[in-house]
Amino acid sequence: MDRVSAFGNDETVELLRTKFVPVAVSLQEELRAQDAAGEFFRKVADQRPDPKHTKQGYYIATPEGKLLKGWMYPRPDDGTMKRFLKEAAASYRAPEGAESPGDTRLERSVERVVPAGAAVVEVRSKVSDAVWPASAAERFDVVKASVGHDRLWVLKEEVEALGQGRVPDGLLERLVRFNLGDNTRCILEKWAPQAVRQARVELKPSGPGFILKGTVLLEHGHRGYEAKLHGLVEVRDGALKKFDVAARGKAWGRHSGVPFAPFGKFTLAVGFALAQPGASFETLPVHNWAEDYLGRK
Amino acid sequence: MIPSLALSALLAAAAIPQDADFSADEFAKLHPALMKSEKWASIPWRGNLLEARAKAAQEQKPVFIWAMDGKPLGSV
Repeated sequence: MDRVSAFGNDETVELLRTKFVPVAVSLQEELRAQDAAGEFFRKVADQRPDPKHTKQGYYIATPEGKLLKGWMYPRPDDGTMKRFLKEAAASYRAPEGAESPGDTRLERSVERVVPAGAAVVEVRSKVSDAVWPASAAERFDVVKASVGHDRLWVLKEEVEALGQGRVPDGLLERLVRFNLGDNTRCILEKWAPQAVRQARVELKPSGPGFILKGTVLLEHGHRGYEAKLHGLVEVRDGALKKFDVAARGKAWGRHSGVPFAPFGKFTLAVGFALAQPGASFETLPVHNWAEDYLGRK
Repeated sequence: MIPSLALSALLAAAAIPQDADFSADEFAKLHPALMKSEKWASIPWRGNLLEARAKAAQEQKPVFIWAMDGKPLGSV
């Protein structure tokens, strides 16, 4: 949620694009990984003295694993990111005769990859019209304005069904249970099957594709989300060419792990669009490991 | 697996009231706002630390590592 303050500066972005090789990793995965990447990460992270309670944050290191800078705070960033990048870029001298490591394959027993032929959809969420508890913390303003990010996989056979004007139950269930919620401050706690009180969609032919309309009611315990969906879907030559969809409605309650939540009902919008090739496409849905994520086709 | 017939019925496509209060015009405003490009996403992030290390050695640059719980590029 602090990515906007940390990486929101043009000069910071340019420094990272030109003077560094940036990599974004899951802390828990690298801490546990029994491969060369995990060893490299732990070697770098263990050189950072502070903070002691977590290894989350930022590291600038040589390819050999020597830590040059390491920090996590302040949050939101106050210019520290740009300053440290500039200092590191100015002082860095590549070692003489250093060799590029050969094998770059990861050995992750639990890692999933995008299923063959699947389309990857980028998902964003945003809260508005919310009454928040009072807080004097500067960080809280960042929290309230943050955008949630995730991914949705659309399997090959589901793309084919969309091309025939049909939304398969498995896809609708995945979208509803794993993506329709407020993940602006923490990963979304997936909805239990019994939380899906209503989830109806239809595709109507329009131009080269379809207009998607739908309505959803999710409710479980103290939290819920009632929303309408609208979108444009297009499949061409067996490939998903457009999946521009949005859900908008009222949400309430908070899921576990989220320390801040608005009072009462608030507006929650969730947007979907095809992920661009590269890191965005390869980023996995947060719940991809859940046994019911691809449970029904 | 969720073989719940009840859930299946709830998920089944059905006629949607055409007066649903989320119009095409509203969608045309909301969707681009939600999906607009973000500055941090324009950074050429890699997800493989070994690939990043190899490229850094090759280009004689330091590695910048962003580590967080979950997936930095895809969660929260």
